[in-house]
Parts: sequence; C-alpha cells; structure tokens
Amino acid sequence: MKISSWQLLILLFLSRIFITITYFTLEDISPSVMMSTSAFSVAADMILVIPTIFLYKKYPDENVIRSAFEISKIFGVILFVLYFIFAIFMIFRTVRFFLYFFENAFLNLLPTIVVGILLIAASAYVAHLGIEAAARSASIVFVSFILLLIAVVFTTAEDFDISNYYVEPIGTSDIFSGIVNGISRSSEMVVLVLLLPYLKNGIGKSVYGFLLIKLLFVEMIVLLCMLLLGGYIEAVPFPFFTVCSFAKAPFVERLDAVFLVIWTLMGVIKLSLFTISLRPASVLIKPFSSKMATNLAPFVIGGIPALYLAYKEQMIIPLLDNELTAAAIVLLGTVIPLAVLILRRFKREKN
Amino acid sequence: MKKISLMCVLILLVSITFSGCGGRKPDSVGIVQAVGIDKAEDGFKLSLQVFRVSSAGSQTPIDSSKSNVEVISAEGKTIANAVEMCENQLGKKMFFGHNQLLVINKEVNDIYSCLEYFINNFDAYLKMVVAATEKSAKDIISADISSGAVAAETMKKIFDVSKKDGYSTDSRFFKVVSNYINTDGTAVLPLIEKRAQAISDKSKESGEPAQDSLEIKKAILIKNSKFSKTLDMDEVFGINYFLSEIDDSDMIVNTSYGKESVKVKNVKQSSEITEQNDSVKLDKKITVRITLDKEESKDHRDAIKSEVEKKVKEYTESACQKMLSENSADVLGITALVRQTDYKLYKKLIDDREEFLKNVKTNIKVSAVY
Repeated sequence: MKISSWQLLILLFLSRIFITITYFTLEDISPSVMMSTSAFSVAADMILVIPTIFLYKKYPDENVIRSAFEISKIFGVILFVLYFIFAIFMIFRTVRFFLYFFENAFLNLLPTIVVGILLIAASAYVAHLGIEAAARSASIVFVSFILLLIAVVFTTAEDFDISNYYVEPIGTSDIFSGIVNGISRSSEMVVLVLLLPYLKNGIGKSVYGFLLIKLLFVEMIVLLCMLLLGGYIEAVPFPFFTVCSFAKAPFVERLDAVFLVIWTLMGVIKLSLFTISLRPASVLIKPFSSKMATNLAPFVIGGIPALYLAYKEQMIIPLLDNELTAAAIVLLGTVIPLAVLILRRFKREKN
Repeated sequence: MKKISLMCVLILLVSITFSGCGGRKPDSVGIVQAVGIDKAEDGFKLSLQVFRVSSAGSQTPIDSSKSNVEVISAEGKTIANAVEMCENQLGKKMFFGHNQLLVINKEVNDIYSCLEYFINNFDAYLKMVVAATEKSAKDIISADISSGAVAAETMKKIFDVSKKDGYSTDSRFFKVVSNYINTDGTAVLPLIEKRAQAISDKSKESGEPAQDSLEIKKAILIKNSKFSKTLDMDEVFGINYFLSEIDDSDMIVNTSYGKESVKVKNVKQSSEITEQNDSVKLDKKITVRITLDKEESKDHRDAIKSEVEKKVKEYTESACQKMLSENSADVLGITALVRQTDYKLYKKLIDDREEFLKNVKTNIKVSAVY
C-alpha cells in the first residue's frame, strides 16, 4: 500500500502540530523569541532531512533499516532495535504528555487511566489497519483542525490586543536553543526515514511542504496566543488550550470540547505512525514478522509505564531532556541515513 | 473511506455535547455566578453566589422575577481551602465556568493569590469581571437585584454598560491578569458600591420590597500587588480616553450657548515614542468622533468641538499626572508601547521601572471630529 505525497505531508503535519497545541508552554521563552527561532529551527530541519531525500531517491522501495539489511544483517538488526527503542520511548512520552494535559485541562471529565487505555487501543487499531487508513483519517482530521482553527481566530478576533505584539531581538544562544528545542519536538524526522517505502512519489514536496506548513502554523498559533493573552501567556501551562476555551461561538459555547476530540484523533495518528513506520523492516526480523507483534509490542512496552505513571498521579514527564532528545533525532533521522547511504555505496563499489 | 469519514464526523458531533459541566450531574455541581473575597483573621473569607434550581418564593423552577441564587460563605487560609469549605457546606463541587464577577475587598493584601486560584482553574470563565469594593465583598454579591433570575448576570451588565460609557476600566479577568504580569503587579479595578435600597415609584405603589442597586463611580489602583490609591471618575475617564476604550458614550460640556449633551461615538489614538535623555517622550494623538442630537450653527458646533477637546485633554493629562508622575504605575500601557517600538530601549529602562515611568513626558493632542 502506498500513499501520496500530500497524504504523507498531512500525516507528518498532524503528528507535529499535536505537540504545539497540547503541551508547548511559553513560561520560559517569550512568544517573540519562539516565533523568531522557529524559522531557524525549520531551516535546520531542511538541512537535516537531505540524507533522507537522497536515500529515497536512490532506494525508493526501502527504508533505512531495509537498506541496512542489504549491507549486513547484523547492522540491520541493530538499527531495527535502535528505531524500535525510539518508537517505544516516543509512545511513552506522547501518551504521558497527553494524559498530563488531559489531567490538568479536563479535570474530572473522565478517569485519566480510561482515556489512556482508549487512546492506546485506538492507536493500536489504526496501526493494525495500516498506513492507508491512517492517511485517510488524517485528511479528515486535518480539515476539521483547519475549520476549528478558523473558528477560533474569528471568535476571538475582537479581543486581539495589538499592543501585546513586539519583536525581541535574538542572539546566537537563542538561535541555538531554538534549533535544539525545535529538533527535540520533531520526532517526525525519524518517522519519515522509516515511512519512505510507503510513499508513491514526490519526497521533496512532502518534506519541504511539511516543514513550511509546520512553520506557518506554529507561527500562527504563537501569534494568536500572543495577541490574545498578552502577559497571561506566562501564567498558563497550555496557552493554545486557554485560547480555545476563550473562544465563544454561537454554535458551540466552548470550543475546547470539540478540540479535545481533534487533539485525541491527532494523538491516535501520531502514536500509530510509530508502529506503522516499523512495519516495512519488521518483516525481516523473525520475532516481529507477525503484524500483531509489531503493532502491539511498542504500545505495550511504551504505553503501560505511561498509564502506570498516570494512575499513580506522577507528574514526572521527561525522561530525557531536550538536548538528548534532539541528539537522538539527529542521529536516527540524519546521521544513520547518511551512514547507510555511504556504506551502501562502498559495498556496491566493492562488489 | 466512507466508514472512516462517518466515524470522524460522528465523533465530532458527539463532542459538541461535551461542553458544559464536565461529566458532572447538575445536582452535584454548584454553578457559581459571582465570587466575593474578604479578608479574614487568618486568610480569606470567600462568598459564592451559587445558582439554585428553585427560585425564592416562586411556583416554577426558574422565574426571572425572583432570585435564583443563594450565597454561601466560608473562611480558609487559601482560596482553595475556602472553596473546599463552601463545597462541604453545600455538598456540591463548585463549577466556575459561568462565574461572571469576582469582587475583592480593598482590605485583602494578597491580591495575586485571589487571581491565581482562577488562573489555575481551567474551568474559570476568562472574561469574568474583576472589581474591588471598600466595604464587604459578600454584601456586593448578596445584593438583592431582582431583575433577571441570576443577579450576577445583571451585575455583569452593569459593568458592561459602565465600561462602554467610560465609568469603568476594562477589568475582564484575562486583561487584569495580563496587565498585572506585564507590569509587575499593577492594574486598575473598578470600585463597586452597594447603594442603600433604592425605592422606585413602582415598588412604592405595589408595596413590594425595594431593591438594592450597585454603582461604579470610582476605581482603585493596584500597585506592587497591593491596593493603592483611589481614582476619581475624571481619572477613570482619562485612562479610558487614553486607551480608546470609550464607545458610544455621552458627555456634557459647558459652552457660551449653555450646557450641551454630546454623543461620543468612538475614540481613536496613535502614539509615538522617542528616547529623550535616558527617558521617554510620548506623543499621543487622540481623535474623538462626536455627534449632536440636533442640527446646530457652525459657530455653535465649533464651540462644542473645542470644549470636547479641552475636556478630553484635561481628563487624559490628569490621568497621566496621577498614574505616571505621582504613582509610577503603568496602567496606560506605556511599557508595552516602548517594548513594541524599541525593544532595546525597553530593556534599558525596565530595570528601574518606577523611575522610567515617573520620567515619561507626555504630549497629548486631542481633536474632535463630527
């Protein structure tokens, strides 16, 4: 099953924007600096993604793990284990972040553990249906997200305060930390490396389209929070959620409830992508050759600790800090694809 | 594809019903309409105006001619403690999503604790009005305003009209908190007073008990997170004209033709900031659009226009004098303006905010147009 470049773009976008609309905070960084450094972060992404594009152009039906198998079986297995661990960690992190957001923003709505179980079960099911089902659902969620974002902008426009807008000059350290923060939130760069065999064509359109649309929406969301909330932005842990609860439309009293569903669906898509992306390579490794095993194992290993922490009401979230996460993403999303490309070239020349 | 689309659409439709009291049964939720906070010996005395399903003395559950609210009070070391005590009294969880009004007694010292509880409560309505009172906050929210089933809604309308007319500053919760955070604990709140029972002609005739009335005639400055000076009406007008917060209001001016009533349709302003000897000069142009009830001669119209300009200039200059020179308080958005215009200058001056505000030189030009 293959997906179009647009479908891949939407999948990657939803997976990324899910983070921005749930648990990005502006407590430690001013919105102005965030807006300025986002552009640098996207520029860095554009460079980091180059080996992935070359890998696709050279071997369109293989992802990085399958290519590694062509070099050596052991190398392939090592890479599979690395990406598998990454998927588990990201599932753990995503579920825990979402439940943290849910616990705080929707107090007493439903038991958090129930929401977590449903989220994991739905994600495992979508992963089982495969990339095509995920891509089609993503298109609908994408349209719903755009419509609701437009509704939020229109219903809050009268309260925009232009005096809240300012441009803070940034220095080299701001740019560097902005790039590191941006990369640490871009697990899609790793997912992309693994999703390549599913793509029909147009890798450049997908990847650069995704990065540009990501930049546009991140800037728009931060600007919206800035104009509307002003100094209040520093006091709230989930600025975009606050903006949504602020919006008062005639057709729905508070849009946050509708957004919760869209956020949850985005979460489902993001989580399912981690296991779907492992699928093309997992068939080469015996214990994971069954579809069920690939789909369930990461959710069980990554999801259960996240549920346990939610059950124990432990608010500990990051196991790794931003620098380490960013380093892992650069390693798995750029360095390894580049290494695989070089090694395969050597091997071909040797042969 | 069709199945997936249908499923997503259904989920979205169902989600619309999620908005409300968050999965709680109405009889187990106390729907708070207004909150009053007074100082207690050890902490806060919290009073909540809570919606009651059966109205007082009425045959029907909701009767707009009767009050559908009750007021409960409790003391606690923190606001959260006091809310818990109220919940214990009523046997219900309190829901602040419909809260219209937060009244804080002038005696309360720790204002941010009062605001912080609502910042951290994601249910709280961000556009509720925050006001102060010199007397008991409980008295204010217990005022017997019988027009409408819920007194707090009528109270909110009083604030809305006062704001539009310039009698009250914009004191919606998110604006107050935003200003408070941006300026290290400065804000202006309208000062609300309960008047002795107003006996209308209608109630005299019918023999019905007279109603209370609330009025906003002053405002109070919060500085360094504490209640500070009281501002008179002219100063409040000055702040509102300075910030162009006046919309469709009336003004009375004295001209050689006598007293005239003028309708102020709207106010527009533009500002220019220039650095001047480690200080800031603010050139402000305020344009007031006015209309008259009837046709007047050109001379008459010019006389009115000139009086309006004079009066608005007096209001705004008096507000600047009181806020900047006398109190070094930034309720006129000066720091935000400097930050927007010249961030480096802002960073240079903000370390000594008080000195910077004290030394701001203002040059206000007012023009009235028909």
